[in-house]
Amino acid sequence: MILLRVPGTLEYRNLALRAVSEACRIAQHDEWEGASLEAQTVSALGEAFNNIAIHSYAGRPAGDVVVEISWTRDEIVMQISDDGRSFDPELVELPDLDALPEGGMGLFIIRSFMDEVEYQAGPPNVLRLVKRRAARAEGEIAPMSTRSPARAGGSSKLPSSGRSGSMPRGNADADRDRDPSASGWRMLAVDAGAATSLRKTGTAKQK
Amino acid sequence: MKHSRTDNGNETVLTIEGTLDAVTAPELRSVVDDLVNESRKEVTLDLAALRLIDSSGVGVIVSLFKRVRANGGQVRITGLRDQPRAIFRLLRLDRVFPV
Repeated sequence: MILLRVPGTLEYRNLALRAVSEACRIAQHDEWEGASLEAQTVSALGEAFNNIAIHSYAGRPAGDVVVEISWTRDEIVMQISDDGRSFDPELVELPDLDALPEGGMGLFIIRSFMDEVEYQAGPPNVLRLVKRRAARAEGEIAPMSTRSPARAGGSSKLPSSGRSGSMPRGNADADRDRDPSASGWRMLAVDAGAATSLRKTGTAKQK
Repeated sequence: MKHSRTDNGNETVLTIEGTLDAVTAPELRSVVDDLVNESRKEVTLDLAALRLIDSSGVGVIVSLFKRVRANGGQVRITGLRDQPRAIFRLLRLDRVFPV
């Protein structure tokens, strides 16, 4: 496991990326998918770090970013924590790639490259990203879920304070096939007793 | 990030090396402004030595593409590989730029 605590400013971003790059090398994950595994994990962590430095700590003194990277033969897990402003994943729209956007692609990159994306608003805000060994279909993006540990009785992997969300992966094309009226995002809200989760599936808008 | 610009007639080759991200993208924006203000019509981005790009870096390249195209020109990309190639494929930019 690699545990890294750095100031939440962009100048420390590359340090975090080097850590996950090294984790991929140690875990021999290159055997999975060649260079793409490292490219995907580095890209996702980079976008997550950007979001914290640019948005979460915007307009306030930058606090720390804690990056925890763990791995097995079958998956690599990155947990990124900060004490800045939280965001609502439900309000983040997927980009319209045909419109050639110049911004707003960070979360899409994260969800596209990761197999599981879970966000818990804090403090601390905790973003948990999982990349699994299993092959995935191109165009598939990770769903995102949100849970309230207070109502759900806590999460085994996330701090127990604040709201949390997980973005499970879904196949957007398949989702559209099942629901022709759906365009872009589709939200599935589940409230099963003590546990509350919000699940989003979708893909970039296509014309 | 390092960048260098070579003009040859109507064509400009802009070589970008290293990392194009939220830290370095603002530096490249001034280069893009120059190319657009000079109405360069044929711009080639040599990305063979680009090691890493993030969404901020992509934003600058897309901005260059849109502005040059609006002036009646075009932007080509050469040498795309590894992580930058994965990002371009994901964002479907490999279908937009002549690669």
